[in-house]
Amino acid sequence: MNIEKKIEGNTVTLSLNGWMDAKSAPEFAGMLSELEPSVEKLVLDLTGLEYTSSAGIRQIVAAHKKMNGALTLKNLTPEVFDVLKMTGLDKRLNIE
Amino acid sequence: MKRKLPTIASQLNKWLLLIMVLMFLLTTALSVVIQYKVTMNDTERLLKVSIEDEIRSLTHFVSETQLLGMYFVKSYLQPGYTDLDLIPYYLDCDEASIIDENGIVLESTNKNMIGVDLDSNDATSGFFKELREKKELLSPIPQSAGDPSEIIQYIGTELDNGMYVMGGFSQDSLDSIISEAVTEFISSRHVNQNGMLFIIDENNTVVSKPYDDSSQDIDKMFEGREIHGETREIREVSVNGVTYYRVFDTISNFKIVAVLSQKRVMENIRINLILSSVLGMILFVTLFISVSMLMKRKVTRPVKEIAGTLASITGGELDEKVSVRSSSEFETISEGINKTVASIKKHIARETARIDEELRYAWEIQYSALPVLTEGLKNNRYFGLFSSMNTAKEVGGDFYDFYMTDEHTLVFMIADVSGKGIPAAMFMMNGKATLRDSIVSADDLGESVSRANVRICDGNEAGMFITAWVGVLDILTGELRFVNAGHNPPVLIRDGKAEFLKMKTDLILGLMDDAEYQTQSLKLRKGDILYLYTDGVTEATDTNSGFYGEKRPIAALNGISPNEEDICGTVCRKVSDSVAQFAGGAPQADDITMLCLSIKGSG
Repeated sequence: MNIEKKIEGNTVTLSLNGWMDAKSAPEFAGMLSELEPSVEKLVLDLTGLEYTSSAGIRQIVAAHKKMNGALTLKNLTPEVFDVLKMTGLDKRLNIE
Repeated sequence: MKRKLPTIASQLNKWLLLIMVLMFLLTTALSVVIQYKVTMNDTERLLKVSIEDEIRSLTHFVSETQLLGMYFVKSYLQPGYTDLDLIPYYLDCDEASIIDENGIVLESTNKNMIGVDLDSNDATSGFFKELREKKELLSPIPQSAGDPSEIIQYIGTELDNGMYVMGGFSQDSLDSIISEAVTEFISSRHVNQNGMLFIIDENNTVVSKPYDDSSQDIDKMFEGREIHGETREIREVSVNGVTYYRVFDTISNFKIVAVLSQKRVMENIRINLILSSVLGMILFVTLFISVSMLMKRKVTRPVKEIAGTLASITGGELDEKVSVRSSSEFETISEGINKTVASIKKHIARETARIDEELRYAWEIQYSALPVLTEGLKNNRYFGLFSSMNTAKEVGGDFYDFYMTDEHTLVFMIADVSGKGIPAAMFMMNGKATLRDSIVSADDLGESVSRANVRICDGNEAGMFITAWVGVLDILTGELRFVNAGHNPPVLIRDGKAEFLKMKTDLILGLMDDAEYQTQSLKLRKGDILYLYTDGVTEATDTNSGFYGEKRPIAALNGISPNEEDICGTVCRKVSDSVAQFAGGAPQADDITMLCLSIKGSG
């Protein structure tokens, strides 16, 4: 998986590309833990995310908890959206 | 940042260079000393030999002249010897005598000598004795005496009548013979190419010098100067600001002087030194390059090779072997590393075996937590049930459960814990126990699941979660109530047509303790088959990492007839076979867990 980071003021956008599974999820977790406390809003651009395993879902939920809900997912591929829908997370997360 | 240490080669090169430079300086200094000593010795010897040669030649020439004179005398004196007075004229000597065979002087230009017996005369007995033996004799040129008119050299010859004629030379007459010889006798008078030989008389006047013009007037500079010092001893003398090496010897009243310009001698030394320095430099540079290259070949290269192998061993290639055997040291290192790696491998294997053993126990515990179809459940007249779990290599978090809460209420569920390994297995054990604890009746299923969720959320710092599908069936009426906590939709096969169950989705368990779960219901009929599974099925991959997906199980299950014996087992096997065919040998990444329920009869 490949992650790009973009900072605009207090908003950080992470663009995730490829597969997020047990092997690559720690990379995302690492970036999450490195976020500045001043970051108020986190946006995950999932345009390039082809697949997420349960490990990826755990990390997305972890991000949601860390940001106290100030997490937005956008540009979800149908595959990833289906997974979120199936797990009931689509109702809990901010999805654009 | 870590400071970059110098390589062995560069360190050794530095030291080598230092040693080479020191050695070069040392040998150069040594060769300066040796060159100087040798050259000085050579110079002294050259000067001495030149003088000796000159004296020998000169003496020889003088003797030849004297003996030639005697030859004339001998031939003129035959047969009588009336012209005794003429003999000194021929011989350039001071006195002449005729001696009979008994050694008695018969006649002499020196009246004092007449009648003298030479055999008993101190001054002549030695000479006369020898003359008798040799018939012709010239005594050697002696050192100059105090009285220049005293006879100091004798010449003699036997006449045909058995008598002898003898001549005596005083210092004066000898000097005049030598003086003639010195000016007439021409030898090269050169010392080497740069030095010269000249002869001076007692007034320090140059009487002989090289006949060519190569002398550069050195002799003139010495003219009129007193020659000091011992004979045949080298001396450094300065004339008009130019330094010479000088050796002299005397013959009669003459001094033979050999000189060599110090400048020329030093020039020779300098040329030799430059030559030996250049040679030394070439030698040391060659040595340096050779040693440097040897070091590279014998040390740097093997070290790099070992480092490379070590890097790949560190990178996990434990089967890699170090095989640098260019020297016993490197062989020792290679074997040491190989032994270490072998020992580490053994330890890893032992630890791995231990962990594998523990994992096997963990899996056994987990597996034994799964329910077994009791006789009552297996041959139930109302429903059929079949479950299977095909575990991946790693311990996973899939589970299923089924139990009766009373005579007509069957609880059945399938679930999948996020992640794998021991954490997932532990979380699964807890989740399964919690769910069984919470769901004890058909009433308020949603409420029960919500309660279970709160307990699962409690202390779930790791952020793990469980997707679950929980059903409660009234086996008499076919009334099914179920909760979907974010799990894959079950497949309902009704009248031979398979399709995913339409249902609402609630949040997965373990994430948020305020999540609510709603009870959904469905009326099942005789012949209905409900197939539950985990994402190990839909996310099974083929060799191209493609997913098995959701269409393939539907296709595999379409057209199934419910009247078959052990229909639930058939359903599970059909999907299993379909998955295996799709995977085509690709390794199984996740547990493949299935649970199938069929309705045999109802009200």
